[in-house]
Amino acid sequence: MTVEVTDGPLLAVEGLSVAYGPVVAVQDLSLTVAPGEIVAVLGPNGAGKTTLLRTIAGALKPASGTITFEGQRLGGRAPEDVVRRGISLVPEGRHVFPGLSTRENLEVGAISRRDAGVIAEDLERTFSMFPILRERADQPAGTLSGGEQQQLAIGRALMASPRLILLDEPSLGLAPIVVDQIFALITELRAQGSTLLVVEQNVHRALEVADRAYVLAVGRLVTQGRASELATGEIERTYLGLSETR
Amino acid sequence: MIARLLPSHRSGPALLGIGVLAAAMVAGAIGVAVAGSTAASRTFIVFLINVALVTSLQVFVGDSGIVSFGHLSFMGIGAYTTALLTIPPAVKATQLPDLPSPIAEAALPLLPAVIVAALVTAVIAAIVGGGLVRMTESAMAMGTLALLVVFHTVFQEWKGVTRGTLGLFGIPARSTLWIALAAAIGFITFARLYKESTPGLRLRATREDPLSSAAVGIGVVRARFGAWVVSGAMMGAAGSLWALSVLAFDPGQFYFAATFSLLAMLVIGGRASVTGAVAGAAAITFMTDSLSRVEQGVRIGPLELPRLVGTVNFVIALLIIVTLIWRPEGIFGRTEIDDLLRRRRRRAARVAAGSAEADEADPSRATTGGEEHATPRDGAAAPPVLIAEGIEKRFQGLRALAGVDLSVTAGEIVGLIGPNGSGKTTLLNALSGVLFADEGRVVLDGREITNLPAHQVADLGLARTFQNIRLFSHLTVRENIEAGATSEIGVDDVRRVLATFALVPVADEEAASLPYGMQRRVEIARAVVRRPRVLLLDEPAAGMNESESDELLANIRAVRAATGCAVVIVDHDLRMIMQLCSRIQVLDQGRTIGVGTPAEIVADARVIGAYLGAGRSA
Amino acid sequence: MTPNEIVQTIVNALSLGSIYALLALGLSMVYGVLGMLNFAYGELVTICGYTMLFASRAGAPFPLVVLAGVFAAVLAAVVMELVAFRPLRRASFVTLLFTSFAVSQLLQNTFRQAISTRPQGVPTPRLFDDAISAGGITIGVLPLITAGVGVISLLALTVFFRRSRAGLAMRAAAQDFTTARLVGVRANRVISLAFALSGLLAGIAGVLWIARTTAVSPTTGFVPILQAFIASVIGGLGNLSGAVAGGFFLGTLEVVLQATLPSALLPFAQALALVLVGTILYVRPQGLFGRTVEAKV
Repeated sequence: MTVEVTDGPLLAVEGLSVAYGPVVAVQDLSLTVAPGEIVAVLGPNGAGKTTLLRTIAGALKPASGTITFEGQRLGGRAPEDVVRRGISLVPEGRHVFPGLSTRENLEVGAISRRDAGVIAEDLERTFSMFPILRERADQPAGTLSGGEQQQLAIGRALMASPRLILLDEPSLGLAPIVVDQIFALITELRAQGSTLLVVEQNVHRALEVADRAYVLAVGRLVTQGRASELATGEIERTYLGLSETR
Repeated sequence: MIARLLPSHRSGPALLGIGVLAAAMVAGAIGVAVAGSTAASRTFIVFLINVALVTSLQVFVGDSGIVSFGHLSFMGIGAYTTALLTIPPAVKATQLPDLPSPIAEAALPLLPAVIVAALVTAVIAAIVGGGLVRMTESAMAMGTLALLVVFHTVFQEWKGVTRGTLGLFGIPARSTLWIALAAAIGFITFARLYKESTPGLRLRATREDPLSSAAVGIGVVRARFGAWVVSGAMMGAAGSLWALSVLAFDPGQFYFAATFSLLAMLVIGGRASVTGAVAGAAAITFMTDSLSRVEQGVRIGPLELPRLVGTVNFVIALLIIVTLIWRPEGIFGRTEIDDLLRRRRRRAARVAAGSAEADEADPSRATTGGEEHATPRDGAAAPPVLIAEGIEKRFQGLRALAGVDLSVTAGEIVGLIGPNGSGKTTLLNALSGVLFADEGRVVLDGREITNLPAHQVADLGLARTFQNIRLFSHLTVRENIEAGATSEIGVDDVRRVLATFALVPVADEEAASLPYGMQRRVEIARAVVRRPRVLLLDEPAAGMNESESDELLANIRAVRAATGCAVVIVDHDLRMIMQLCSRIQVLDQGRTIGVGTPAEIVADARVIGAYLGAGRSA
Repeated sequence: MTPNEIVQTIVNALSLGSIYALLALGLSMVYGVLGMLNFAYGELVTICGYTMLFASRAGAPFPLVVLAGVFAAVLAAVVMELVAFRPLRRASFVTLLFTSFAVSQLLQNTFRQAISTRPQGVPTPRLFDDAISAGGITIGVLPLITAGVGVISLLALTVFFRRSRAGLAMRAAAQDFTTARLVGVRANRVISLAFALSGLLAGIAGVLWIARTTAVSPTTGFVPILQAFIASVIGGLGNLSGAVAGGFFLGTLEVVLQATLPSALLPFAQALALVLVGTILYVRPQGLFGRTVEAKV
């Protein structure tokens, strides 16, 4: 999980529009993610944040616009190919494979890789990062608690050795103490050289760990900037529906 | 009563369609009687009886959307019953010497034989159907397969009654060309009218969306059961007529080959359409007829083709595959012939009307005054119309609801807000009967409704909409609203609701073809036509822009004013919620963390914290 | 029943049950991954049978005949998926069901035309007609071999599912197809694998079935397939271990009924078994091992 030194952003989204039938979920959106950054995507529900991540990951096809990763176009690729390019998604609601054991969930995360020896090392490293998963290695993933499943989902995404990690609402439905752990983990991942694009409803936490943030509402970009500079007042108003969308 | 069961605005067009099909069949019959050979007459009779058989099958398969492989069993039951009752006693005695005397001596004329066959089959269909209709779609399909095999075994082995594989012969020839014609017309009339009737409409709603049909009071199992028995009885009658035309048969006629042919007619013609069924019957009958000649070996000019056994089935199978790839719903799909005629007329009318802004609701049409804010009613005086106490719900260890209370009085609009995953939709599901609550009680109008099935809760006066729109996609807007109609709801109520929500111009359009905002309106219209006591709205403003959600706001107020119902609305559009609701309840992680007026809630630090996230926890 | 009869009944139950279990597993596997019930599955058994017939006639020794039959079933399954079902990947359950029904009829008629409508004898080693005796108990060689092969195959498949990467990918895809793709499982490959495996199971079951009946006809595959359908429904559609359990359950039921029914009712054995199953499903519509449905509709 090393940092690629490239000139230009790791991920560049330009003019992206995504629709579900008659509903336009994302409209003309552009953003970038530089290597080694944590970028947060914020906004109330229905803002299109999950749609954005799923489109980057290949689960949805954009109606227009481009997605460029490490200088190469990603448009329309199947999800299993996007993983092989180096992008892993931790989906909203975690979606662990409930009938597989914890260990098997992690192993299937590495299904796109061939280097058996290195995979075994990575599995060890994941267990060290998430000791509770080692404890529950042979239990069916469906029996894990919400926080444990979230750790498992993140670990599973890491097993693909991605250069960009997409995190969709990692704190969703988790107790505050567990949310602490998850955000500490996000910071740790960046320290180890990963790049992360994080969708979050928890604005304060997200701004604490992110370098930059984009704020969406009703599928469009409302504001963006360095996390330290973004006025929480403005964001609050977007959430409470009191600001005007552009 | 008839008007309730079969409203004229649906039966009217249906009769037109039936008339066209009947006229075509009459013309064919006359043509064949006057100008055709005996062979051609024979084939036409086969066609007419196939019409009877396939429409019987269509009544169940088309309207419920579930495949039945077992209907040939009902045909067999009808055929055997008829044979036993119509074969002249002398001939009967040589085949089945041990029959009990009432049956041994019976020699019924046509009509009584057919009626008895239909009744016997209906009873048997009811007995076997009870278990089948409770299964899931795929399991039921397999169950009907088992049914086919079980009855085939019975026909083969119950030799005292059926003579086993030898079969029965000597059935009098009662199905003449004109009898078959009358029967075919009768069957398509019944099938078409059933489809348009209220029970037929309700069944079709379950085909479109079982969950939301329960939410408008339709019991899925009961709807399927009714159609199963009706379809079985029809099949028995058709089998009876068939027996009276083929005069001899054996158990092999009620097994796979015939099932395949019959299903082929539906698949190719169009499962969900009586017109399609008739077209499919025509296609398959005539193809079978011409191809069987090829099967025997035929001369085409100088070529002498050898016997090719199984050509018929081969070609039919190919045709099915091609049809399914090209038109998965069959040639006619869901379209009836009268739909084709009406669509052309309506398209012309719309073009003529020009670009009138027909799709915007006019809030002034509602009877409410121009109030901007929902003032709190004297809720304290009136008893709450919906009370929920201590609702708990766990999903595999995850506590979605950890003891939530809710109460609403008539005329109140309560907003239910909270971050993602806080349990709002789970609460609505527990209240409306879609989920079992693990703990807690729900009381509606003083009556306990905890853990009642969804359609009963709907019948008792609780209506709801869904987060992802769940309309009956392939039914028209009007049919969507009528599907939930009970005996108290008349044509006027439907018209009123269509007007309030500005849906009159699109009333006869397919619901799936409407733009998103309109579909939302249809969903709400469908929920309120029953004048519910309580209306639960799950994210009705999702995906709407500001002007659309203003419109929605006005519609909700109009509904509340017209019906006096209580409204619980879940949404993330806080601007709309603040304007609309007199009281707001905030959930977070399955618990209530605040209840109060909009002003109180916005100022509440805990609420802000829940939505935006506090800093690091202490 | 005498001890001898009891032992024979048990072996027969295991023998018939494992054939049904293999087929039910094949059906459930495809259903779990693709959401379709493959009506043409029985034809794979028939193809296996006819291949065995031709290989025999060509003079091949029996082990080669068996291999040929199994190989033909696997090949046919993969071809079937590529040609008939891949174009319809997104179609509804009913459309896929009808298509597979049509494919099944197409194949049956091809066999009728190209080969013969009548059953044809397939020679099997004389060994299969023997019986072994020990301590007063006599057991037929064939039922023993069938039970043995069946159980070993199922165990081997279990090992495959639990120990191999491909098996892991398939299990993940059967539980959550979309998420499986999001972690890198290749959709097309896992579907082809599911079909190929189901072909393998059909081939093994086919060889065992032909050994029992020593004949092949255009409708050979039909009888055991119906039982397989019912078994997978009993087990809960898509539930792999449920399918296996359902297969053994149905096989045992059939054998027990045949051993205990009065002779007048014997022809109704299969029908009675089905009626009993119907009653079970009345009480538990989701099957014995299917997940209880959360929503009450």
